[in-house]
Amino acid sequence: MGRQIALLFLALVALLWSCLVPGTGGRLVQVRLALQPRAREGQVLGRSQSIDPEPWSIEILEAKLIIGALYLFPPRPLFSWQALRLLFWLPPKALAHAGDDNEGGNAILEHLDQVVVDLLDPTPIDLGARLGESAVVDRASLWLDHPRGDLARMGASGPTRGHLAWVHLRAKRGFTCLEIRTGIDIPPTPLRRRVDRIRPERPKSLEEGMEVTFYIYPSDWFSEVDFNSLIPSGNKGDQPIQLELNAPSQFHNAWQIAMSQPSSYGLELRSPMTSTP
Amino acid sequence: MLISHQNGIAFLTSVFATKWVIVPLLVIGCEGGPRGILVVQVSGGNEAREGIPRERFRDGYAVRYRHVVLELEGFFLASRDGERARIEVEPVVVELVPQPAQAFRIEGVPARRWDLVGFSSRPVPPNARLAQGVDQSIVERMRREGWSLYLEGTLIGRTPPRGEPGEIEFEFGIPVAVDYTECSSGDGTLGIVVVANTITQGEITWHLTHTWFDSFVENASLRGEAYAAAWPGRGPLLAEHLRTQLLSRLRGVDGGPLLDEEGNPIQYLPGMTGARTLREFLFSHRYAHWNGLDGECKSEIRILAP
Repeated sequence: MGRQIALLFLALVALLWSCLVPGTGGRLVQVRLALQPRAREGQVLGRSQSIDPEPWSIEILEAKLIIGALYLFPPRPLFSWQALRLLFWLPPKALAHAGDDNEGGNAILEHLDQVVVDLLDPTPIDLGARLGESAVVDRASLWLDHPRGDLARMGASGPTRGHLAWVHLRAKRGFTCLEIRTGIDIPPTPLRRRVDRIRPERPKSLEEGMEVTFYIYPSDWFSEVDFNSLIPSGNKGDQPIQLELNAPSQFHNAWQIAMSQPSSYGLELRSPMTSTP
Repeated sequence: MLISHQNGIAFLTSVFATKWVIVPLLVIGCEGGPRGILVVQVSGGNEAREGIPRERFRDGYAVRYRHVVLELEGFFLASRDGERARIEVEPVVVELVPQPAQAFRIEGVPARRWDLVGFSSRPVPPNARLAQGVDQSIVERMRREGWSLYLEGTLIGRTPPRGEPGEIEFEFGIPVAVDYTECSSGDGTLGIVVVANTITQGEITWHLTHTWFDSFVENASLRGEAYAAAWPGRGPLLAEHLRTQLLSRLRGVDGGPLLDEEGNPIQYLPGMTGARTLREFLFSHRYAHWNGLDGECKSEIRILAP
């Protein structure tokens, strides 16, 4: 009797331990990976309003963005003492100090090729089949990239005009119309370029045949731009004002902050059986 | 109760057999042997005593602190080989102005290197112990408002609405829960070595410059004007006032855009924090170092009043 109970106890410990260490299955599954620009519910892709009391109507006429890499991460591992914390009914925690690199570690799926995304085209960009590890997807990261290889050689004639992203937009309020063309670049350090903590709409485990879609929500990336400050003095307001902006500017600050927010992106894991989220 | 691993398994198996309870798991991580005393001090460094002089700010502001009050709890010692010291500390509230405070004195700690050191700071719970020198009224306010950190002092520099030199009192209550883990010392070693039969000192260094950083990525500068510009003109500057400062549209004390020396808009970089306002930016700061300013901990923060 005692031996049976001891065995039962050891089984219980093993079960608990296996629950505490996610992503250890090691089984590889093939999934399809895609990127897709998307409008938020009730919005039109590429259209928004500024946050001003008298808002500007913003219409993106052209927008391209280079994504350099995509990563999926499992829940943070609960090693040793952290597992013990859970056993002691204490909340497990472990992330990073501000200024340190929070992410990295064991990605369960990654895509490392550059992709140019037309942010006004809602058609999913199929990135093909990828092997990933069968584990729960806790969060994702993506890398905002500058042009490399052929894209770099295209320079200003490339889709992003040699920048990390390019936009041509129109902002209108009353009779005043601004047409703005500009690109943005972000210094190539991980903490500036990487967007972390993109959470899946519903946590799921990667499984064979799953469709993994990263969404990009670009419509309100310019809603905090101070368009009033861009009106040239003496403007009569009868012609669209053409502006080619250079960084640094408030426009670029607002754009970079919006573009770097995890909330500007989404992640959906669609099971093959149901083909629904 | 301190027992060895092997004995522990035998012991908990027997307990499990007779009682059918899970408590046997509690013995994991215990060991016998020589012991020492660990005293954990919290220091706000020179900044708590003398403030931060204008030379250290990029935009010429200076800061004096009147109160830096924080809650600490959940101090633990563990090791990567699976041991965990059986220590219990009660939540404590400490005041770091004008001098460091003792947070914990832990006796009977197994003497060895504990390479996983961590602790937490949470909103003040009802049972928190007040260390020496803590103002009871501040603690009651922290408890009522759900703050784990309270910063009170004076921001000295240009003031709104026209940028005249002046002083702005600030009272920042910070409603966050932060867990600091895997702390390494300033000399690069992991955790702490508890020496047998003596008192070992550990220090949580609460680095008060962090409040004024303008970036969560590299090359942060200390700046005060964005905070000063949010002051409504009467009473102390509160964290709530910082809601009006969008990071994308920061205002200066003259009401216009906040500009740098070259006339370009100043960029606060929220990094992975997701902050959109100066209030969220303020709440996202982590302050703790371990055994010196070069000692770092991993941390996770949750803002409890978005």
